[in-house]
Amino acid sequence: MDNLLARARDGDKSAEEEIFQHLLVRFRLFSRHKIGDHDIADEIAQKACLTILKKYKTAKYTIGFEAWAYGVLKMTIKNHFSSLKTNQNMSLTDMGGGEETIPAAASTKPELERRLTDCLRRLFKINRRYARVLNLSYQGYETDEICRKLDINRNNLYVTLNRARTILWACLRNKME
Amino acid sequence: MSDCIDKKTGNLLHLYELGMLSPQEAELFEKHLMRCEFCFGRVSEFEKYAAALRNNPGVRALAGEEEEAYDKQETLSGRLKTYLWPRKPLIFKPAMIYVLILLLIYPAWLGLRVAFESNDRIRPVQTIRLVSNRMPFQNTFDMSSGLDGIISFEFPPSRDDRRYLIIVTAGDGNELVRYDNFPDISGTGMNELLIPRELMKPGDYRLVVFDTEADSTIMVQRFNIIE
Repeated sequence: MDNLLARARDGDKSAEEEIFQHLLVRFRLFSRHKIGDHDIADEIAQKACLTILKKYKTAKYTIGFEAWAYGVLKMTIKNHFSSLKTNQNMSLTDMGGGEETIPAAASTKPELERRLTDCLRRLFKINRRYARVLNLSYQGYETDEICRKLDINRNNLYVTLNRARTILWACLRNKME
Repeated sequence: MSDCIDKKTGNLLHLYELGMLSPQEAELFEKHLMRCEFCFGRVSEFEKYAAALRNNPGVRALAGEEEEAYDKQETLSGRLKTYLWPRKPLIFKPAMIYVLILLLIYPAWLGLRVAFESNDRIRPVQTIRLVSNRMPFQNTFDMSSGLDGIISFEFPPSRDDRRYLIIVTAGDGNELVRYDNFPDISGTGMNELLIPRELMKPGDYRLVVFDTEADSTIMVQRFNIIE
């Protein structure tokens, strides 16, 4: 990355493009993870990339380029939520309400949902703890609370989840083929 | 993209996908994804499923059903197992100690039961010997002793392939005991016959051994029962 960055700063367009492609795919993923709506998430990712494109040559980043770039994305997401909250407050004040609303999650395609639920059913038969972890998480329990409830430590939880994920992914891939 | 560059942080992968990390941990993991091609590849390929796992109502309902089924199982065998069996080895739970004690006691209990049953079976008896070519040293049962009687009698001409009819008759011809197909002919020629105490009546008796195939009386011995 340092090599690419040096080349980009020297005016190498292909290096610059490679860096921004590297950042864009990651930023999309991160913002989609935080924001349910994929269109808005992609827009935020692009906005963050444009900011980086404007500033990367002149900015002084003591913490490293990637950490700085991540900070830019974080700030862009924060600004998005701030503006969303302001707009919501304005509209809620107009409507006379005051409760916070959660942004709508992206809908799942029926085929994908069917495939996933089929594989989960199989997985739950051989790894019931995974179902417990998921359900407790849906109920709002923090990771440490879940560990306490299941009487396991965090490492055991990582192992359980990663094993379950491996099985789930293998099943999903088979279904796709 | 051969392997994860920081496995400790890489362990958080599925927790991140499920949205179970705290904001600080999520940030740590995302910074890891900025540099780790391996983990980024894994998260990318699973992204749409991860989103469904986090948000899809159908998936949430499915996990809820499983949890409910699990809870039911927990109330029965699962809880018993959890109560009895230690999670860590060599740390005994009280209930497990009871199980171990029971395992030790069971064989001892079996032995005691056999001993008690034997006490019930083995009782003193009175015995008479009926030997043809010698004077019997005793040929009288005493009813007042209250014991069952055993007639020990000699039976030299026995053959393994034959069955014999043995009858104990009183002087008036009434049968006291009858054994059709008497099988207990031993190789030594000495045999034993049980006369239960309840059947005993005072009088003179004859023990008759009859070969049913040859249709002939083989042996007659006499004995008495007194009050």
